[in-house]
Amino acid sequence: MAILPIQLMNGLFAASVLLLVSIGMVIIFGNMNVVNLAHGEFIMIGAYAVWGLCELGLPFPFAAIGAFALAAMVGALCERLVIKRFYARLEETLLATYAISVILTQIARLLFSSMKKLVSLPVSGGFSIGTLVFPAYNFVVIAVAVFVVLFVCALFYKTDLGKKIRAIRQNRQMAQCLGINTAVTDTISFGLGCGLAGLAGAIIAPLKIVYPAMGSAYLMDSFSTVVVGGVDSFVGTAMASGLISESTSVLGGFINEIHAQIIVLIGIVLVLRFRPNGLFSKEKR
Amino acid sequence: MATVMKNTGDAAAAASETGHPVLVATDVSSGYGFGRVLHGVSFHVSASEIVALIGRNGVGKTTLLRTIMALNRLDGGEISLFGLPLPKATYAVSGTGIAYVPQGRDIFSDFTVRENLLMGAHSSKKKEIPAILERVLSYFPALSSHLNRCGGVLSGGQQQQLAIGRALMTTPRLLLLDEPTEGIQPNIVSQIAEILDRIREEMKISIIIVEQNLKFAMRHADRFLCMQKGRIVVRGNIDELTDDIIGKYLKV
Repeated sequence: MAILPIQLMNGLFAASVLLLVSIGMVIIFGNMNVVNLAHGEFIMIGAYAVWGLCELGLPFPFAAIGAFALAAMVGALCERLVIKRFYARLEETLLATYAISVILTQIARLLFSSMKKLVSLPVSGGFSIGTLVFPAYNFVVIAVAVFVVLFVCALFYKTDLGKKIRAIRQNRQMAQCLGINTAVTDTISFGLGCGLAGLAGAIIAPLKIVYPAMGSAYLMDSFSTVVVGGVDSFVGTAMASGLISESTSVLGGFINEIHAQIIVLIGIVLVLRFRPNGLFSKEKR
Repeated sequence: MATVMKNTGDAAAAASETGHPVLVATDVSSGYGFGRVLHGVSFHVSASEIVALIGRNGVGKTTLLRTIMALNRLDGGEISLFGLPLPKATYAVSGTGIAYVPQGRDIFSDFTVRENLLMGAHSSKKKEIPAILERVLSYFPALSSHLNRCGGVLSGGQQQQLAIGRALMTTPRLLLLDEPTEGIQPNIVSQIAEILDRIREEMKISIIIVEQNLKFAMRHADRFLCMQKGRIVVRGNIDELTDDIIGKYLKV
């Protein structure tokens, strides 16, 4: 049983990564009802941005903030130029975001070639818990994930902007009738969602290899996490990240990791069979 | 005397109506996609006046309200508020002082009653909001005890009161009400009627009310506009709404 604490800690770390890559999707998919197939590419933009800014000598925390800002700006631009014409039109949105995904990947290839880039770990060393030693950066990732969830919850539930975004999600026309400029709010929301994906890319860049197609690996994981949690629920997505990652990690400690993933995926299918709106969605009258 | 309108020339009749206009609609045409629903509709609404918009289902009453709110595109004609043309964006129309309570209420069901009300005042100055909220709650005391409840769990009558209260939070000069009594129990209908009379008197608001409940319309409106096939076919003071008109234009 000595393996269990290690697997639990690894699960917590994996959950934090999953949460970081999914939280932007809660805003774009859950709140704006846009299936953004380019979500992974905004993660890639963040990863490249942090690599580039670190190469220029910027400290990692500032580079991560720069990655957030760059991804948010590219996202806002995509919303203004393309996405805003396709709200409430699922098929067209799928095609449009797929096109954006291809374009962004090819632009990255043109700019950086397919050569893989490495970002140095901003924090070295490790923390000991008992006899176990965990990389210090894992704790940074966990802390950033907790901070991001708290920040986004505060933004959505305590600020005027967040309340406007939630009002638009519930009833776009009524929000307009109350004087909310939905076009501006949509651009900010989409930019914020993409910015958070970029931040996720920046945070995971030191753990992975940065290359143009790196984002696609996170797309399905993000979707399944958000759907299991309840598409518009930040807390639900956090819980789902924990549930999925901890289950995979703990099971993976006892059986083959591939088998663990298969079992978790079957679990996700069963959850969606019996709670199609996700585990943590609210019942509505 | 009630004026029976020809299909054309509504504008002239509208111009002959008395009172200082808050809203003036001239030859308004609108619809959905390529389908035209409103054909040259003209009317005005005076200060502190309640105008009942009546007619059978599908004659264009809701479309007219939606066109005023710029939710439907204005295909022809002009709508002005206090002499200024209305903007083309819905959010900007709200900024001119027009509030809309749609059929079916459309409250934000995930928001609490307080959040719903405050959403109406989002563009007001922070300092003014408590006073606006207090005044609106004085009209709807039933909402005061539910401020922290989710809007989605309220009864239909409470939701209607919330929808009207939220509209009043925008401090409008013109209130558009689409079927406010639909599916509401009689005692709540009476309360809503009293509130409409009070807000008209105290807040000096003009009201356009789309209503199938003729008793309600006849008791509280000053004038009526009767629509048929996207046109205003009869108009007049509410006491001129005779059984003949009701039989000809309103009975199915």
